Amino acid sequence: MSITAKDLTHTYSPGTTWEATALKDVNLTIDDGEIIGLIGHTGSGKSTLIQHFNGLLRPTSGALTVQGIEVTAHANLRKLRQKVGLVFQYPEHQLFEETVLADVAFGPKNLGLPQEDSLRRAQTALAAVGLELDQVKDRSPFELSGGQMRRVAIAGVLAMEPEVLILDEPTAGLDPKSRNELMEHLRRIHKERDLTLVIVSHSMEEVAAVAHRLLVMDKGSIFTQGTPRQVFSRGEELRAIGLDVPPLTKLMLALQRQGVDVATDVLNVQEARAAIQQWRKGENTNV
Amino acid sequence: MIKVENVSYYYQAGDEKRIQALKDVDMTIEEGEFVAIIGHNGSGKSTLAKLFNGLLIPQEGRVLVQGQATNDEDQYWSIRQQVGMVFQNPDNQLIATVVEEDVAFGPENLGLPSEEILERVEQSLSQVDMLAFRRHAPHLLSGGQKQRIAIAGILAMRPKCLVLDEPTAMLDPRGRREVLETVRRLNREDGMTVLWITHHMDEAVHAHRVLVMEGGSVVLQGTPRQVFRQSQQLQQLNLDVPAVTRLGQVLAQDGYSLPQDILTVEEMVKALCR
Amino acid sequence: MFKGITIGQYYPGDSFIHKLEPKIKIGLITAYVVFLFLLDTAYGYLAMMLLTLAVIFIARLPLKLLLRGLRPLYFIIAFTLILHIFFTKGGDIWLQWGRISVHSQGVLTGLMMAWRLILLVTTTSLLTLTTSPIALTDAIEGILSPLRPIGVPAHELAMMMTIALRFIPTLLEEAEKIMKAQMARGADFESGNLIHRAKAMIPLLVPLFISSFRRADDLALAMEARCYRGGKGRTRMRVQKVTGTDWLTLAGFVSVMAVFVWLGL
Repeated sequence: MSITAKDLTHTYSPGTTWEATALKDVNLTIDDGEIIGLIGHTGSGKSTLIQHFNGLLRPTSGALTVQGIEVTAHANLRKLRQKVGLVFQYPEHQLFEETVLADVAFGPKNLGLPQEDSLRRAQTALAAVGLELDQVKDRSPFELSGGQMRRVAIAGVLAMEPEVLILDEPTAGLDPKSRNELMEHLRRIHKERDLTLVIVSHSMEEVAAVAHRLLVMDKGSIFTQGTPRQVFSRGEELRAIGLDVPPLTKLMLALQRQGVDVATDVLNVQEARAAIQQWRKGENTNV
Repeated sequence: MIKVENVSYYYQAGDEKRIQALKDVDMTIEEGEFVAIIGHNGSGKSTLAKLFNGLLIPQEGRVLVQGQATNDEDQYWSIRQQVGMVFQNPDNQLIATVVEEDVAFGPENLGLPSEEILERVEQSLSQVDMLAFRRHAPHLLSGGQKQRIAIAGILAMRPKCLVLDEPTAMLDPRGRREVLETVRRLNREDGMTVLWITHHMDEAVHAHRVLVMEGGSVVLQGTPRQVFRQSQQLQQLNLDVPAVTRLGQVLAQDGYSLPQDILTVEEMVKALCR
Repeated sequence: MFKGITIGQYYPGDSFIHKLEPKIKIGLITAYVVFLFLLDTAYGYLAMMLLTLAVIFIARLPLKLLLRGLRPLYFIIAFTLILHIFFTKGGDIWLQWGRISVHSQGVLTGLMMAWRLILLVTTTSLLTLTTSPIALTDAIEGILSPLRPIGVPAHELAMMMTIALRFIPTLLEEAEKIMKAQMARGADFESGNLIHRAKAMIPLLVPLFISSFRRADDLALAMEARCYRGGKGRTRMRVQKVTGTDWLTLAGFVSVMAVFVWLGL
């Protein structure tokens, strides 16, 4: 099941001076349990696309089905938004309640759950993002550090127990340590809750480490998609559309341009090392 | 140009629960240097940044800018004019509804005559390559463009030193590139002293000197090469080392004759294809 | 979505009207409004309307823009008309159903009031259409400055207005983002009675306020770093001086108005 889009098109303010087509004939399928990395420039349509997944936006033309619900003007948005959790960029800016627990329970409450259940879900969600329940639950969210606030915001969406979790640049503005920690939590949450995960990012490197598949967007369409390896091996094309390729991929491409026969689909330092060793060994035997 | 002498800074200084953000920090910044200050959130780097132009005054020790102490009230405004500061959030630095009006804000505060302000505004906008946008509304610009306008606004005050506190943290890759290139050019061509605070290691490779902060103190410093050679220590401090540098180090362990301090892709290619 | 809206609806141009000094323009608008209330014949209103149309023509403003500005007022204009038609008595009776009667005086008064309203709104919007927001705030600061000795914070008020104008689009954008984020958590801003909807605004207003305070903090620091220390000693990059032409225009306008009044319009 999960997400299927067919010729999905979205035009903002059609018929006015501000008319802009943000999505053009997007076709994609996301299967249950996948971790998808959505990559693209500012303006490539990634934001517009993910807002379709939970019904904040609807297609101008084409079709979109998410977890069995067709996203149209008549869709049951409440049901859709319980199944699809969307975490925006800098989600800590949406916190408002007097205590952390109350804020995280906001989502379940809106679903109509009784107080007890809402609070229970809130507690589970807070634990899932790695926060010490007793230390934070009764504090004001605004007393926490930036990184903690972000995790509270993510817990707020998790508490709705969605089947699909979409995060727009979840590590934006975080330092390296916090970035790694958060990605680890997301990986664990994905496994424990058996979710489908969509992570929007500018950093191909960061997402490639966890994603099963990458979707690369450019000018409102899907430019390419595949496993991280498959996508990285098209490095030159990615550079041509102005995307930041990970430095190790850049290195492999540069070596290739020098005439070196080396694999370019390396995802991390270990693989780069292996690829270079392979090359050198190959050279030695040829000598 | 700037001397930091045995400085300690406490937040909520009069309180029992005071927090020591800086511990006996001592350093000198020379004119024309491009210094990168790296460290994770909470290491004290942002606090240090605000000491350089007197936005914060240390409780212990002192900061001297061109010989003038930041805690000297008479030198207050002179120091702020000489050491300009650009902050993290591009939006929260722009106050006018038209770009050139915003850039004029600083010179207007300095009480300069109108013609000179106009001249400086045009010059500063050219320096950051945004002159074409002078009559635009700031809120319609991209993050990278906004930051460049903020930089122009500081340049219009003709400072000797530019302190940038995580200027690219909220920008996309293109914006980051724009801002870094602009500032590097100012340092290279106009001799601007630059203090670049960040937690992106790849930005620090271009600096003349790198200072690594942890727990309120400078724990490591040197040229980028010297600092990034210490990859184990950096990783213990939960900081990244550029991927190429790490690769160079593991390949060296494998027996390849490679320097331990490769910083860029180009260097690596050269080293491997020798 | 909100990016297309320019606050103050400034319509740039370099007509005679655009180039008039802003304080003079404020003076002209004030004079217009005062005289509009002094005149009370249809001919008077006609004369004022012709004046307004002349200004629109000289400033090369598209009529459509001004008519669009009236849209939010359709209800009030209609309300005024209806009120007078049915409740103002005098003159001949034109219609009668039982208790309800429509008098000629009522219709006339209704039309005149509606006309006056339209003239008021359209003409005052000419000010914001032909004067940039900065020029306006500068003008207001200039007008209020003489009052500083009695405690009017002219500069601070002007600075507040400039900053507010600058941040309106930014805050609108942020409000949109927060709304979407809360909607994604199941918040409902659209259904329910007034009380319910008011309560539903809390998850929108609290984060917006908090972020505004944070912005204010950041902005204050940035302004300090740029040597801002209040209005004393500040100069301006663009200073528009009041010229002879400006004074002449104001004088000419007031004279024409005086003639109208003298003619009993």
